Amino acid sequence: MTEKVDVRREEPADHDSIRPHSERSIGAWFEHTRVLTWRQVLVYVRNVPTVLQSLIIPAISMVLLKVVLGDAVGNATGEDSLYGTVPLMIIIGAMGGSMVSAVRLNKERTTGLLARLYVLPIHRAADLSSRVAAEVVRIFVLTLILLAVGYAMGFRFSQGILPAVGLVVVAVVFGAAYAVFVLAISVNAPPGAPLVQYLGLLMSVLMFFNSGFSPIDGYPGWLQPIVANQPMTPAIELMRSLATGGPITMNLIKVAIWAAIFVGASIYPALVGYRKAATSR
Amino acid sequence: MTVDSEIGRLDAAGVSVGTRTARQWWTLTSRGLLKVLRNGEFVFAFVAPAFLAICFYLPLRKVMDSGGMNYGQFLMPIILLQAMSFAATSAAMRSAFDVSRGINTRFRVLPMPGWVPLFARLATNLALLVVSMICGVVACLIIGWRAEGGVRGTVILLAITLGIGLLLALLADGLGLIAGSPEATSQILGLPTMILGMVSTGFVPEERFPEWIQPFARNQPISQFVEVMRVADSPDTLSWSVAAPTVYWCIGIALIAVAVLTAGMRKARQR
Repeated sequence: MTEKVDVRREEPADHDSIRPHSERSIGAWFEHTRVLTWRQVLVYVRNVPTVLQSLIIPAISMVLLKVVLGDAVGNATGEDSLYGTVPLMIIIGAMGGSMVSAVRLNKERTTGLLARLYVLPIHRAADLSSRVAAEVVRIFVLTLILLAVGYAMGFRFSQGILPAVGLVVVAVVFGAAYAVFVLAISVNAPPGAPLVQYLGLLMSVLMFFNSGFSPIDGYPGWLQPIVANQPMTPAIELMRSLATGGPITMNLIKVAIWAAIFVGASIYPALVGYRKAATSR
Repeated sequence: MTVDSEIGRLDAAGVSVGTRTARQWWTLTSRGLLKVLRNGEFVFAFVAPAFLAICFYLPLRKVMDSGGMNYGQFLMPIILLQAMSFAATSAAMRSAFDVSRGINTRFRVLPMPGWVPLFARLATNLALLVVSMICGVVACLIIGWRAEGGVRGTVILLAITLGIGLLLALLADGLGLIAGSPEATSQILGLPTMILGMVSTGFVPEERFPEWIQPFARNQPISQFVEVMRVADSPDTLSWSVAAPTVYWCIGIALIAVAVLTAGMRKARQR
């Protein structure tokens, strides 16, 4: 009996030793992000239809694109179109999936979950960063799956193991930067806004107007500068170069700039919007 | 006996049954049309085909034109068919919403023949199909399509388009009744539409497909529809040998649609 009481008395002391730092410290941010990321991943994995949709639809689209347009585009460029199609679908898959996360954030605002997290001693940025971290996990898995499907159709890494790793890194960094952008829009959008439709439309436009879909000089002249510099094209070209060889520096710089723009323009609106979303009632 | 039959033909307000049924049908039809208008589906009816036309025409024109074809002319049938399939998908969504929100159950307790809601939805869908078709034609004119089949050929072309659209809408309406949830409906319809649409001769000529898939790409229904529409849109006369597969596919779709609708109506009665 006495022992039991002792254990209960010791508990607060134990708690303090687990969490010695304030909720604003970097350590707390890291720790809370880790916990909440695991939550995000679990929520995602348990929704089986969504998982299938966000993994299988890009894979099917990739096969279709290769089968339908592969020969026509391949004849026009003299290069296997897979080296454009695989990066294109990796990028599209990464971008498309982040809409799921955006819709979930919008929904959790309505159910009051954000408000509940906000009144707990949790680092203010941890929930947002955990969502981005969960996106990183999803994009990493998606990239590996699409590369495996691509490999089955003839996609090869001729540059060795390090560029191959680089390709995955490009996909993850680009996808994560876009996810920050989408989350910033999502926290600032009113609950129940037709986010999926608007972002989906934007993504569909970008999907057709890039160098992975059709060679750049196939587009009308006035459109070529836009196609060449829109966010997806440099990422696709960089991934193509990392797989088969080719110029890297210029596209690397463009990808870095786009990623910096996505993150830089979004991070402040995201934090402010998150506070509003969590506290407004 | 005479009193009974008298009551059968006149309702309490003294309106004959035929007039009343027609009024019920019109009320439900205008309800559907208002819903379509408020959902912005008439806007979507133009945006969707125009979007599709531009997204395929601009990137692929040069890649495709190397074979000496006019890609705008080539794309025309598939853009019209996609416009029809968008309209059909939204028909499925609407009928699924009617089920999931319980309005069909409420209709059943009203003094109204059971087929009135079905025909009201059909009329709504027909209106949306016509608008979609006109929008699709405008989108095709923008990317450089010109009617080459003369008046007769163009009328046949549009009649085929509308007929196929009507069959698809009937089928989609039935699927919406069975599926119940609108989300499930859009998923059931989305993937097959995408695969059949892409792996057809609508976007890419048959000889540019890999050899192993050419037989499928040639014989699947969408490609057959596209083929008939292309012949109708050309100076050539439409022969039975070209039209036959389309006729058979249409009969097949009609039979499936009737089966699905019957099942859907039966399911509605059992609730």
